[in-house]
Amino acid sequence: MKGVVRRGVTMTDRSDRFSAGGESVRLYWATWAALLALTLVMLLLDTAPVARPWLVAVLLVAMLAKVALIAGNFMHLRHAHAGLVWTFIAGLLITGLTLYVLIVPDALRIRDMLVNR
Amino acid sequence: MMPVARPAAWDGGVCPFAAGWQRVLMWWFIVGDGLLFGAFLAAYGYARLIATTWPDSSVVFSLPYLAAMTLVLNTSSAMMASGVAAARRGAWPTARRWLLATTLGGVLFLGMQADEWRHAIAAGARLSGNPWGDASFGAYFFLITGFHGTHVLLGVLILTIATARVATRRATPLGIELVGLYWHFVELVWVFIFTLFYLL
Repeated sequence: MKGVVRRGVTMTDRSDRFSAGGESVRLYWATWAALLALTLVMLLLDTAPVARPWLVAVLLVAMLAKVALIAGNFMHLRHAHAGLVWTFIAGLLITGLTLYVLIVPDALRIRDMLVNR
Repeated sequence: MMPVARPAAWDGGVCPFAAGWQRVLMWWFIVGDGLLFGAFLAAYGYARLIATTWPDSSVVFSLPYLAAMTLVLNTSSAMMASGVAAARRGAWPTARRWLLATTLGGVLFLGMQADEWRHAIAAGARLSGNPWGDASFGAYFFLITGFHGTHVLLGVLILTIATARVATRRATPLGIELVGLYWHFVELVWVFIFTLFYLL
């Protein structure tokens, strides 16, 4: 593990904590297999006779599972400082949800206006 | 008495996020670029919600072909992660081979995307309209996949330079890791595009 001493305080770069040995490479290819399996499940569901609300919910959950696998294992975010992890989560997901909350009611209102015109 | 920093609680010493500035800046870039993609996808969602009819992507595009594109990018990303691990071990010949394979994966993905665009354009898709329905469908298709494709193209160029630097023993493990972060981000964005644009 690499440590840097600045102003008498030992600083450890958490990203260095993941093992770079053979076990990590096995983890990467296990992640690859999991991503592949999730993609196949998503494709099968998309062609299966599943009710639309359920399809949307399951596809979104599968999408977020894939994002977590890539960010956590490939990008080593699960070894990172909580502040960095929350910067990523807050920066992308919370902003995305905010956009959704702001946009969807307005879009639906416009569609209703177009339909009822 | 001056307040004393508590390294145990902060765990980063004088360094926020307990990571070097290069990694932190790369993550800032990723979040910023991710927000740009998020804005495009939100705009796409808005256009789709206000449209009274929207083309069925599974009819317009070949899902098995898209699955193959996803497999290529996914495999390329796993090879990149293996290359980063090899670089950190100091196994530079192995790292060079993984980086080369990753680059080829990126080139293959670009070729497949160019072929998808060629088919769409031949079928009549344009920025201003398309034969399948709402006029903005084609615009969002070219905007979102084109912006992602530009990122892949940049990634291929960066990977080519990184491979050359590894071959000439001028690369550092941190440099390769930063290239890897960018490449995984490109795959991360594809996960959103694949689900939100092609499947839903």
